[in-house]
Amino acid sequence: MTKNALKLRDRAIKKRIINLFVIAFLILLFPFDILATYTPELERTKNLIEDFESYELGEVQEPDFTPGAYPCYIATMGGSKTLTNQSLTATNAWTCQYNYKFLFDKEESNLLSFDYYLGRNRNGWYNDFFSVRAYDSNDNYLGLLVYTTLDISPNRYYFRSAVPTLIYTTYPNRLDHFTIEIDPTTDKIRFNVNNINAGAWFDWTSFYSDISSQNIAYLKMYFEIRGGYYTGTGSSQIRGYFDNLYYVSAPEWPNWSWDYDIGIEITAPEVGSMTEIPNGTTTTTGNWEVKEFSNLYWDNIHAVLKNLATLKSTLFSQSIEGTAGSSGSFSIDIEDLEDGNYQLCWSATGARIPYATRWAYFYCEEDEKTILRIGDFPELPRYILLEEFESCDFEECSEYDLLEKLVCEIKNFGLSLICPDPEKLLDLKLAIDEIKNKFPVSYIRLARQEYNFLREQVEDKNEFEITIFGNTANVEVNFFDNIEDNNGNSLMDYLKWFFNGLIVLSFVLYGLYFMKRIF
Amino acid sequence: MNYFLNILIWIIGAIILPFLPSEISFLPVSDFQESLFSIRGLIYDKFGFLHEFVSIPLLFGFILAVILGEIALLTFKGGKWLIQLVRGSG
Repeated sequence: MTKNALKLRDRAIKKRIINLFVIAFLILLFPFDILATYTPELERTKNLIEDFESYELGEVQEPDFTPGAYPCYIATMGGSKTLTNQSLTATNAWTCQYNYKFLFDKEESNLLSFDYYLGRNRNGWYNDFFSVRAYDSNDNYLGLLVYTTLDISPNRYYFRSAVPTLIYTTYPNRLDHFTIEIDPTTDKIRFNVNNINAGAWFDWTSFYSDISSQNIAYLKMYFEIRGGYYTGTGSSQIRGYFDNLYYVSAPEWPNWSWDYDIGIEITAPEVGSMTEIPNGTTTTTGNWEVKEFSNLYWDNIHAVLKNLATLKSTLFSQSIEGTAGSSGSFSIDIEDLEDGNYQLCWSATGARIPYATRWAYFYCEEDEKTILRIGDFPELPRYILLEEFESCDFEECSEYDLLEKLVCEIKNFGLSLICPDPEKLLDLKLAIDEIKNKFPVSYIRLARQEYNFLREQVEDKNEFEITIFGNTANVEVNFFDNIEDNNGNSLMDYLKWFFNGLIVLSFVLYGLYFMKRIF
Repeated sequence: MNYFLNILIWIIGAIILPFLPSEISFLPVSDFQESLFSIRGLIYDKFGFLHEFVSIPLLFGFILAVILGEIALLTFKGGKWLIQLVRGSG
């Protein structure tokens, strides 16, 4: 073989090797390209989860804003609060009536509270009624005293009427019906019993004018019932109070739409993150925040962990209050939970201002799930992983005639050529993920990770340490920052551009030198 | 497209993955990570202030490109040398 022939063969081999490298590179790039193309841009949508009934929070009542058709609802006993509009002259009159009966027994409890709210009727009056049955095994008479109290938050201004608003004598086991009335024309409140105007009018106008200039979040009105034996001693008092009757000051509430967004955001762990909680951990904590724009008042916010495999949800009562802008932390006792992957969700009971109707809601991020992986966690369920990929909309062809069906089938076939099955994309993604844990990709990933850390760190560093004759000092390097031109560019900016230019120039020169060495 | 993806998945699962080790014996992942951590600390302490003068991504990109380029060139020339050696004319 001649020298020229050998040279030609060398060149051919070199060319083939280069071609081989290029083809291998393109083949490796292709899966990433497909993933980048078909990984959908997910929108942040927030939906009411349909399986809410499993949470035992009480009735869920859909809002009905038809004038005059507002049903009333009491969610739970104790600790809840209700909101209504402070302004007695507002035109959005509505009726809200219910008849709530309760028994109280001095032997079991001497303190009784329940949720209560006052609806506004169509005449502009606030009124409602409730029933009390004083239960006792003795045949002694019982007396009921009703005091009116007002509590203002956040200033904690507290007022209580000196004399009972209502004094009433009743018998054990007798059901008494009480009515509360607020007259908007005189700003007076009155308790009646058994449809008899038995209570005196309590004037709260002067009280209200005292605090009207303050920037209050809400007024809270308590009603207190004291029941005692009419045996002359009056020592055994039974107290109940109607907690949490709210009059809300009337600021300019923003317009809101009913989208089931309960306005609670998790600030830690980060939304969309995946937290791994090792075996033996008994509690996990985080932070929540009620959005500033949220015109909601939540009196019971609950963390809910939803098992992604079984879809069973466990509710952790937090009993925390949340108004717009408020924040706090939560703690979940996970000791008794089965190992697995859980989604962190929220539920809340409360009301939307200015409506007094109570609701209980459940809320879960649908697209960016915050996942807690507890214990010896298994792999994430495949259906969760599949949510990342969008499936193609193939047209249903069976209803068409022959020709149309043919066109439809061809169209679907064409679509199937360019639009892969999400299952296959997921398999590919999982396979590529496995490569990420293998050498050399795992090493490259670590190096990139450290590089990113370093880049973030040095962004904040503007000084360096020097040691001269054993003395150490920090020298700041942003000394040119204060010298600026008319466009706001400092001398340091110009220096930076200059040095960056030098780097680019060096890169070009190196590139030329590199090419020369190849060929 | 699905057939093509099947082939890719098979290539990755049956050909690439079995031949790629999880880590190399003379440089385990933990040691590699520790050394990276040390290097990061050193760079941050001694050269962190450089970001005031130059764009760090640009500088690091340049350094990385040079390192990768040199490795690629060395591999290519090494391969070439090996071929010539086998062929007997090198």
